[in-house]
Amino acid sequence: MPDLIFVLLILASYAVTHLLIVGLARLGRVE
Amino acid sequence: MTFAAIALGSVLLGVVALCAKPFGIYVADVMEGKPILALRLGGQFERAIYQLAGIDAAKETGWQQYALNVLVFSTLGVLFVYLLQRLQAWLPLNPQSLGNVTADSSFNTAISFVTNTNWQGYAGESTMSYLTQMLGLAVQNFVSAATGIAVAVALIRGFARHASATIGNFWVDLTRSTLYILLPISTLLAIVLISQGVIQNFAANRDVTTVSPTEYQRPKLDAAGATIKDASGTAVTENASTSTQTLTMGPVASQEAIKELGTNGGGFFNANSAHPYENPNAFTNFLELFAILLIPMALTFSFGRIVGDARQGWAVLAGMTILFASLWLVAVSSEQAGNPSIARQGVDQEYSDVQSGGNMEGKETRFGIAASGLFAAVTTATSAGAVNSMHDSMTPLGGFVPMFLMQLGEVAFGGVGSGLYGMLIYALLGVFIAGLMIGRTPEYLGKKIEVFDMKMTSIAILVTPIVVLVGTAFGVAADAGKIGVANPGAHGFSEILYAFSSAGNNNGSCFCGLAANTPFYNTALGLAMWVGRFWVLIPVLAIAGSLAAKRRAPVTAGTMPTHGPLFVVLLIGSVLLIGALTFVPALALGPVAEHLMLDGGTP
Repeated sequence: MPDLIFVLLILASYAVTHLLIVGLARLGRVE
Repeated sequence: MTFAAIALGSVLLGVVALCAKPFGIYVADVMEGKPILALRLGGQFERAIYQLAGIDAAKETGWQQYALNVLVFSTLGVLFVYLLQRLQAWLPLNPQSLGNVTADSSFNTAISFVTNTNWQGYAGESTMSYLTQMLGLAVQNFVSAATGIAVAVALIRGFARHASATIGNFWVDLTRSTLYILLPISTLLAIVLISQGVIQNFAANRDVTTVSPTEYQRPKLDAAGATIKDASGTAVTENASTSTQTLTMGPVASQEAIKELGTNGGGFFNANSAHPYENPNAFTNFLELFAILLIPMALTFSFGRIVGDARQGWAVLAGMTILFASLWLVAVSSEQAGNPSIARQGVDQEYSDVQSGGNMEGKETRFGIAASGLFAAVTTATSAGAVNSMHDSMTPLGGFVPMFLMQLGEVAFGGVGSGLYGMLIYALLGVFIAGLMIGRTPEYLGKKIEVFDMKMTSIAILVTPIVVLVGTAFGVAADAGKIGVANPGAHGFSEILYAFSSAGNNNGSCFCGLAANTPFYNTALGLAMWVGRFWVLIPVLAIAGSLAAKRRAPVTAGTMPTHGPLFVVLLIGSVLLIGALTFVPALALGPVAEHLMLDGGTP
């Protein structure tokens, strides 16, 4: 169970950071 | 402050500077793929790696793809190191039969080593198998440093190129910085360290008989093995004696070399560079300091070479050196001045032929105050985080220095790669402020700094302080955070502030009075390290992409020169302005309050 939580936390960190890249890229195109 | 202390730091900076210039030029040539001897010799091997990995080395990418490659590579690294720790009990190279690492500690350590932080909540010699140390931690020491170099070079390309849609190929940059920069010098350094007594073996720990028995107190146990307590709940102890000492073994030198060169800092042993098997003597201590500073300083010369104007690199280096030297002098002089409370009791703390004087608590007698204070400044001015003394035992002002150096963003001289790109971000802020003052569009190296660039600069600069201050607030508010504090009060606050400053800035050193190997700190600091690394690195790559796409503006009479003393002052001012405005309130509650209490007579 703890493994599931921490692996999900790693994947969630990846997902949020991926979204940051997408968001900044979109901002760059708008600017 | 003694002459020896000043001489030691000055000689160190001089020697590193002498070697950094040719090495920085070499790094630039490697990363730009110039036809130099090293690339010709390793070309076939390098191409074989690309072929094996299915990489088209000739294909460069824009910043988004570059950032995505960094992120995917790092995430896979975190997952791999996590699994390795969780399975180590069943894997080979574990002569001590160490068990699997706990889930929360594995999470923390995996992120710690992938982000080049190397914060260690665990004791290496009693937690990690040799396989985990080598395949997990040492490998990440290499590739996390290589990632830093890659990102720094990508940003430099942003300045050097014009009207370009690409900033390089991450896989090529990663491979070259590992293969031609980190591996050769790490191998060389490891061999020198072995010659000085740093161990390198796969043997199980050895029990040896000591010259004389050691007397100590141990908890008294009842028949069931439980600790006996008196009426007040205190554990009852009994006298004991032992003539046996366990010497820990392992492949230390190979990890020690990259630990310093890659500004990683994660020790094989819990005592880190204070352990005689990691750092046996004054020469290895000097060598380790040299290794920590070499690449961060060399990259300023690489910067000058790639942008085609060596003076630009010199200006950045000058800013870094002034910042570092001023704070290093504060650290060492505070430690050599000692503790005013003890001085008031009539204890002689003056340096003399018969004693080191000053504050020797937490320091190795092999190194003394000068080399320990210098190490503390070097390790926190860069992102190394290795320690040869215990920072928690420093005087309040002495401990303030490493904390503040980290909070400034570790830009003097900074981590491998991360120091240079951090300082260049401050350079952009500096020219922006100067542009506002003189009413012109800010420019740096012929590139106009516009709205998007400044938004990215703001994110890169503000993310870390937010992580540090919000994290500290949670630490002091939550019971799970307060329970780890060894010294309640101002020093306890400093312990928590230091931990989040270290994690958020990817340093890894600690005020180790804080018991941080708990689910709360392992999780919170793990997330702080992740955000502190990637949420800075990604805006930096966005700036690289934005700058690379711009045309170079011609130099005119209105262009502010960025290679002179005025720019150096502006650069230092920008760093101090952000650092001071952001962290002075928090520092006032920690080391400043503690210093005033000591000075005012409160022990």
